[in-house]
Amino acid sequence: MRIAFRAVWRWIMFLPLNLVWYWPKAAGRGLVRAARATARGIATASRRLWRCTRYYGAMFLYTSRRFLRIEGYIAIIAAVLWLSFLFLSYSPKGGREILDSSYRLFTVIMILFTINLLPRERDENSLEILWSQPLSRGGIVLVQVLSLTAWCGGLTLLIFAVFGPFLSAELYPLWVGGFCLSTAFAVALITVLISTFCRNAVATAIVAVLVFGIHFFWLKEIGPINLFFNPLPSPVGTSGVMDSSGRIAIVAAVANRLFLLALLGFVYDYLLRRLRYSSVWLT
Amino acid sequence: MNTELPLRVECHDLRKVYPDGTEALKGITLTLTEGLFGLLGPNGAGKTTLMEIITLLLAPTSGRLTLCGLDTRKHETRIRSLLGYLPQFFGYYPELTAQEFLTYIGRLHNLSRHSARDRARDLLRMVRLEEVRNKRLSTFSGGMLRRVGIAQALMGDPKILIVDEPTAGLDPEERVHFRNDLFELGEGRVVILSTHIVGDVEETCSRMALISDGQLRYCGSPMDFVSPAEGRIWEFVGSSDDLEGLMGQGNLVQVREQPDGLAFRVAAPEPPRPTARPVLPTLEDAYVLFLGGDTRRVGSSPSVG
Repeated sequence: MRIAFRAVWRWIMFLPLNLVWYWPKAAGRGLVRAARATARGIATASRRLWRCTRYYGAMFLYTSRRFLRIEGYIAIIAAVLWLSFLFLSYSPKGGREILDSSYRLFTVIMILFTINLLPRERDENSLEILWSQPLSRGGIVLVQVLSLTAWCGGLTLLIFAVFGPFLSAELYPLWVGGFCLSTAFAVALITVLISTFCRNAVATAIVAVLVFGIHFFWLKEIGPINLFFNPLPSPVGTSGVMDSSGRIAIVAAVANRLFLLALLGFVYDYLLRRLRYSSVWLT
Repeated sequence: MNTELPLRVECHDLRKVYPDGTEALKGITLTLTEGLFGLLGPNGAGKTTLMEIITLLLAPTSGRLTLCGLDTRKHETRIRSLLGYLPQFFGYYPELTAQEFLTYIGRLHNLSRHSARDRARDLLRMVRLEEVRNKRLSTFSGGMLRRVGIAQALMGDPKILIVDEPTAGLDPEERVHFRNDLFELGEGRVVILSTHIVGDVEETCSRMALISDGQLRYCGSPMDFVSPAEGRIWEFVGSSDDLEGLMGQGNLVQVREQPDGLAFRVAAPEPPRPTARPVLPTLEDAYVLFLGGDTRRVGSSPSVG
């Protein structure tokens, strides 16, 4: 049974994890252990976040202030314009197109936000100061990524608030918002991980665009293990009534997001290792 | 709770090997207690690596480190709350003002917004930057930034303060100010001053250690470090031909121009010239003598560890 689990797990995890050089270890862990570790990690992180809201809250504000400079403002303006265009053009046709386009948009935004997240701290030598504070490195990076994802979330809410009346189904905000934000967070975390392998923001951007571009355009057909999985069938979007295909879509979506959660657990774990043990990268 | 902790830093056989195979530390065993402690060594000796290990920025390859009696492998976050660190290249956020930057650091130390703001103001007053507290850090001079750096290191009222090359690049007046500030900070905490500027240690520290090639070569008082150099420092007046000859030997401490030629200050066991006269050694003389190759005699007398 264990061997079967391992074989399936290896097969499932092979493609995405190979991108971060981590698949052999991940494959060796087993599904149950990985799920437990992920759940434990989430519980611990949530507990710590709750306990440390004070300084992480401060970090949230300062991260927003620091990193939403030129590229941030450009990204926000572009996002508002693009989303407005999307909603006006596609909302009568269905949510599928909106979600696909939102994926592209949020991927670009999150890459823009995060390519400089750690490299800038490293180049300005402020990383040493930050890491000598009584906070965990993982917590610092996670809160910074969450801060930027929250900006994406705010943006989405803003767009829904403005264009909500034009949408044909109430399901849209939940689908589009939920999928976009979780994917945006994953893109951000993976970009931060990529940035630890690259010497500067430009190199990080090139690698990230390549990785996510290949993933988006070439690996789209791999279905529920795709980061940019789009479960929305057109009829749900047009009629606004949940039929059988809609229910199947929900199951597929849940499976996909569970996979995403596991992937994020491994990415975060590997990122922590990089931050902790790679002194060459630090300096 | 923190006041009950012993003011002590204990390094036991610390080794650090970088991924490229460089052995930066080759088994450092060292105990530091309250007061100002100078860590001397040439560039590339392993001082910064040791500092980064003590500040938990780097993990040692092997060995044990306890700060205030707490093992770094078990109490990482708690130890960080006891530490203040001013790195060699102080990183700051240029778009923030001094007040904002320190308030931010205070918030990261879990101070409330009000407390962090007050503490930032007090510290800026202490480092004589209160008048410019609302100016952006990008407009500050090197000396002012160093003072902001020391203020941020003190934000959490640390029991162990680590300053790495704090006076490098400062003008003489700033350097004197900075030394005085450090001297005052030595009360009630362990202050580790890492530098390759001998004068800083000579002026401020009652204890010191010398690291060279990743090894601890000396640990004790500066006075004891200097005493073996007595009778081995010479001064004489010579010409530029002498300069060429002495440069290759690595024991030339100082040379300055005089009306009658060049005045040489040389560390050597025997008089280098018949006209040479012995002079009282300084810490810098002993340092040059030590690193000039004759480490056996000087290194054997003071206690190590």
